[in-house]
Amino acid sequence: MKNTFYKLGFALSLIFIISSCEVDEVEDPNNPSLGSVLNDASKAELQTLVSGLEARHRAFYGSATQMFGSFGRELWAYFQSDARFVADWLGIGLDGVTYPDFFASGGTYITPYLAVKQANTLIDAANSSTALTEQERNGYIGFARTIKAYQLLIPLMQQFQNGIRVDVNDPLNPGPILSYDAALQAIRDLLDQAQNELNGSSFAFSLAGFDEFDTPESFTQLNRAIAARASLYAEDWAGTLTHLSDSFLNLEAGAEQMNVGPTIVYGEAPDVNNPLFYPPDAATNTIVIVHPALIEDAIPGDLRVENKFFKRKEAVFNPGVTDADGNDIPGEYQDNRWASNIAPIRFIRNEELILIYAEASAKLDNTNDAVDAINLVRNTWEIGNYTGSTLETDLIDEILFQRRYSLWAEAGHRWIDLRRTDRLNDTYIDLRDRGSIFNQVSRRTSETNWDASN
Amino acid sequence: MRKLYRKFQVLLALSLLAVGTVSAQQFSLNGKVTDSGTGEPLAGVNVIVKGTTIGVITDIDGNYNLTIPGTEGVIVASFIGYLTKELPVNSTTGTLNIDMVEDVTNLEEVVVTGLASSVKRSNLANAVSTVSADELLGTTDPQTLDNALYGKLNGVNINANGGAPGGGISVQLRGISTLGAGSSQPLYIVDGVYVDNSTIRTGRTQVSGASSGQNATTQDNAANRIADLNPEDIESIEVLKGSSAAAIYGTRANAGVIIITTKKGKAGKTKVSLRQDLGIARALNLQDFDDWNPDKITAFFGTGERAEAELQAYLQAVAEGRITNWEEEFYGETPLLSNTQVSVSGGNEKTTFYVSGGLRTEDGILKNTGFDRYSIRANIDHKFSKKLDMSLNSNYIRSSTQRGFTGNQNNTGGSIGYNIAYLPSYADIFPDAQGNYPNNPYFNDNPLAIRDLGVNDSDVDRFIVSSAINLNLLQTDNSLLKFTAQGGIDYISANSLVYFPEILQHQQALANPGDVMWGRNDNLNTNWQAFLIFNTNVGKTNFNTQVGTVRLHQSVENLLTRGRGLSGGQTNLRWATVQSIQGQFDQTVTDVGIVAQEEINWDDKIIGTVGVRFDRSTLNRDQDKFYAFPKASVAANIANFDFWTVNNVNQLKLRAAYGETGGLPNFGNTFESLTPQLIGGSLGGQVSVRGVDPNLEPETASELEFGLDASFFGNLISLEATYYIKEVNDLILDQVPAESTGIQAIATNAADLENKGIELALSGSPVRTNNVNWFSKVLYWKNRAEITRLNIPPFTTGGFGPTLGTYLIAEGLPPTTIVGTPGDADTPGGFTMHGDRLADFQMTFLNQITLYKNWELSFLFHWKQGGDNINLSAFLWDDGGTTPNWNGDDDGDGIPNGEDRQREWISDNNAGVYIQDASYVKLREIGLYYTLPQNLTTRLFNGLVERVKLGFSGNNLFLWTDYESYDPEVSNFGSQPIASNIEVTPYPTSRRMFFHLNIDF
Repeated sequence: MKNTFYKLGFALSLIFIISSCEVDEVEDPNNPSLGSVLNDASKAELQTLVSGLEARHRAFYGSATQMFGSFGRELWAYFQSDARFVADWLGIGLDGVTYPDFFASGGTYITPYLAVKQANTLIDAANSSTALTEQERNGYIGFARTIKAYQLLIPLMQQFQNGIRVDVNDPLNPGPILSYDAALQAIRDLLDQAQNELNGSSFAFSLAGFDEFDTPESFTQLNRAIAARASLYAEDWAGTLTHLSDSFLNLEAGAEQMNVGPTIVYGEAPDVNNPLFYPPDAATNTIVIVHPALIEDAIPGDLRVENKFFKRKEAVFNPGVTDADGNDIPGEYQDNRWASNIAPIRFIRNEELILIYAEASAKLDNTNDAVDAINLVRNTWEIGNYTGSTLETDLIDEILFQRRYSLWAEAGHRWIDLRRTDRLNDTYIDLRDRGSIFNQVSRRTSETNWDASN
Repeated sequence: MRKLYRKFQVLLALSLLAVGTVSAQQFSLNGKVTDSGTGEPLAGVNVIVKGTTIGVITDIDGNYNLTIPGTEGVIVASFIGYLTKELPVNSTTGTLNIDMVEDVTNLEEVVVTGLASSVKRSNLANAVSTVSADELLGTTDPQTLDNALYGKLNGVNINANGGAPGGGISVQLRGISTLGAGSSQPLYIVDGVYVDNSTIRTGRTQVSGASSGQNATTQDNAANRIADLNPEDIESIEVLKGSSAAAIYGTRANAGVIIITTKKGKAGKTKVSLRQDLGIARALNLQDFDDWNPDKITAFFGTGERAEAELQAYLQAVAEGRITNWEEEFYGETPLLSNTQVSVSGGNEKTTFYVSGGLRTEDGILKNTGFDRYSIRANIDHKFSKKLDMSLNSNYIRSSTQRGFTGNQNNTGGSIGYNIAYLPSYADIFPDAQGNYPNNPYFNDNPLAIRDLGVNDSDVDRFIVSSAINLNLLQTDNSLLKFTAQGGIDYISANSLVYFPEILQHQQALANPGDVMWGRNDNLNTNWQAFLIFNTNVGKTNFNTQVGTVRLHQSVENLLTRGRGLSGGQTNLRWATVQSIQGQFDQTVTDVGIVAQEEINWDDKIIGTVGVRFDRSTLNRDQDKFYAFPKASVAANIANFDFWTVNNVNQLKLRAAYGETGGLPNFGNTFESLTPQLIGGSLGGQVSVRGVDPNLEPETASELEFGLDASFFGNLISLEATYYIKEVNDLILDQVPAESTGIQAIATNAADLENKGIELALSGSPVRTNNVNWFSKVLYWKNRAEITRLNIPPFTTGGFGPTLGTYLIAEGLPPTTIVGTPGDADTPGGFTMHGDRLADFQMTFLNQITLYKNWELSFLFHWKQGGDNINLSAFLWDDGGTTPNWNGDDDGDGIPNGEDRQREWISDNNAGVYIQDASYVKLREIGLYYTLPQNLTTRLFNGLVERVKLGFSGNNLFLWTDYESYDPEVSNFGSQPIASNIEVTPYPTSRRMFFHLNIDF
């Protein structure tokens, strides 16, 4: 009996050894926690957030170019693996109206908001860091706020009259959806606020891209260039010219001058490839095709056509892109702009600023300034001076025509330009693909749901 | 904790008080136990004195010898597969020979119900499904364990993800138990080891482009790792389907528990068994793609330049006799299947052993695919003394799988099925004399090149080892205090290789041609438990008390490395221009539980059980908190009461059971982290898109189960009927904040779900004569699930979005509701309801007929009625012009059917076009066997061979369905709680036919 109790004691102790053993608290073994950077971040941690913001900032570009570009018939996304890249994006059968959570539309909505989230986090981290001087702090914040404003323009362009949220810092308590005009004004205010912050600041961080725009002074010029674009959208012509004068606008002809602008950069894995690069003549059915109207409508000798469009030896077909007779429309031209899959992209360029200058000038009846600016572009691409009518509406048509070629496939200008100038119709949009024209993309379900239940 | 300890002490003390006193008088008894049918002696029969722990086991000749206290008593003889017999004896009996009758209705079967105890089926308060070794493999030779369970379990929905060799099957017990946070798959426990049933990433989804990005795991089409187990080693499988039965497994048991027991040796003559299966496989249900002809070319390509070129290509192909049936070309192989199993078992009274080796080699119906499994096992049991015994079960397995490229892809052509959806029969894609594959003008790549040159291999090396000791601490005539401890290890080392050589067409279209993905995975599960069990009899009542603790630790280390821009023919990463880490993922989890259970059995008349388990887990947001999972059940055997006098009703049992279980959050859902992204040489940290709910709790399920079991006419017919209501509360769902906040998901307790279902089983032997023995069993089950509470807005989930059909989670609707375009403002979520993937009911019909003792015929039909699939294969076939009836004109409107459907999909914006009913009837198994007569065997083999059995069988031999693809059983995204039954050109299912030879020495 005594023996039994020894054994019982042994068994009991074994049982309790098993249960009472300490269990170590498990933390994420794979990643640093968000809390660590929000609580008195070091400069190294802030640099991680800055590079993260650069990475978030570039992510929308391919998607915006492909989807907005399809809407504006700058191009067709011949991605045969999913029929919706043409069926839905070209609005075939949709009669000009999208549906909530429209196919592959997150790239121009969710993606830019991820950059906004990152920018807000960087601002919070910089504000709570004790490792910074005030100049340095303002550098981080001015940089983050400028990028945030730029990124907010993308969902706003997608949603247009649906409006968007601008105050999105608290995920469970976001601000209201602002109207298009109010959101645009809020974005312009953010840019002005950032300009003030950048003034006299210093950059205690390094940037992978942005090329010549990585100091507080040059970055402020970029901030003003974005402000000029936003002001143009807001139809504040005088403000547009003011902002342009503080931007990196350079009213000079020449291909090199046209191409000045900040870069987003790409690399090989684990970096990301340039999303617009396709090897020339690749035997594939996944490729962006230049819309044939651009070839047909071009002024003979336009260097932009030669520079940007590559004629394939063999055409590509997509069973979803057919003409009125039901025949497949051959894809004959592909994008020729990129030397490789790691070529950088300039996300806003002097050529656009020149054309913004022309447009604001035309609107303010500074006809000569407008024509001069137009000719800067025309002569650069060797199509001679503008000789047409100088009526405002004709000048705007001419500017839109130049923008169509100068800014082709640069994140969707054509669709946005035609919409803001009331020209988004089949006079300006070639509908040989039997599709329809969207004015905007439906509000996302998550936004509708949030407002319905909160 | 301290409080718990005190409770435990009190319980233990109470139990010990019940120990009775010892009597001095005794008498002895001996006899022989035989089979009532054949008269053969039965070895290993348990003969015990009722109401005591005194008992012996019959020897090899069926003899027993027993000393019984007192002057009279009741002897209980029990043996697996036979009805228990009770006989009164007294000091004058002396010799008592016992005839045992075969148990047709399995009433006597012992079922594991606790972590350390078991109970006779006739006393069970739950409907626990059991599958024996014979039921599992007796008819045919299914490839994997989960495959072998089809149609044999009531209330269990088994759905193959596709037909690729090597497994990949989803098992859902009693409906939906989670919406994605917890595991949708049951817990598998093999000899006490928590075995890993995860699906290990291979990265195929990235290489084929099916989904890009870092975390997309679900389109790899890899197998779940239960496929590693060798079904041949299995003695029995018990399925605890709902929370009421599985409560004792606590926080991981919401999806049920499958308990697997492997074979053990028996004392006596050493037995050697050899099983050789040889077979072939053929595609079960090829669709026979639409023919191409000039008329069809016009209908599909129009009349332009392109159409003219296609017409020329067609005429040339006809002239060269090169019109090809691409389905036959790819899926038309007739592979050889071979399964060799050898086992040796035996031992003496102290030590028994079971040693087995298995070798399975199977090729697939698609070239360069196949599945090989090598398994070796040793199970050893040793009794040190009457008080102490131990066991060691060890198993090593190597599985090699080549699954090829099917299913989804994007922009690569890296899926045979997707690719040939667009390939007209006249396409010239055959390699030239030098072996160069021409470019495929119809898609991104040449599917022949993908088949011949692409590699998608995975190898698994696995050890499953468990050990247990039982120590009798205290034994009296009617009481026993036992200590049992058990521990186990499941270690998986997995390697995978996915490779597209640089010469492939779509690789040549990339900046860095050649793509290789190497996967390396180490999974280690360790678990152990220790229990004190106290069993005592007070009068006619038996008390069984158990208390114990359990601990489980899991670690996963996963590394995927990728090389692009490969040097000619090289797969070594150093020969890649671009070398990168696709993903490195580590995971570590610890659970600790404390268990107490009390079973009270009053003379097999009323049996009650109460129990509770307390669990904590590091997967919870609050890692230190214990959650309680109680259970209670009662069964009343009405027919065992004295007042029961109805002759032909031998058993009538009413039962009710209640229990609670848990479901844990996914690893990572309780962390807020940064994710890395390189940009231009700088490493950025991106704020993750996932937020954390500080109040997150585990999911809990509670289930109430009622049932009635009855058997009639001397146990020849039995009926088992069960009704259950299973509620899953605090389901963890991703709350989607406004996406503009940059947070896309916060795991939160957002919903409740209710499953109601019935399970009916009717079995019996309609004919039982000397020459004909016919056993028949019908199972019927149905389940209805409904979201009863949802405190986040209704949302769609799974699949490829509303234009192609997706699932809707909304209050008042089944979570398996399929919705899609066009919009419908009256439906929650805003889309039109198109169907529900859950079946209306399922039914199986099993028959086993023995003729003239030597012939056995058995077959198993499985009928699934209702349930819809999202058939995106049909969508692609219509898009590519390959659907079997594409060029017909059923509605006579002059527009071909395929074009009609595409127009309806696109112009009417109707996703419902490709959402189809997926009812089916399958002949799951059929087998005909002949056992050589004993005297012939003896004569032929000179006494060396004990038994020779030959047979033919078929597995999934026939399928009847209106569903318009290879198999209504399919899931592009693997095992999914909700988003199953979506197909994108899967690997077609095969029918398998075998010749069998079984020899026992």
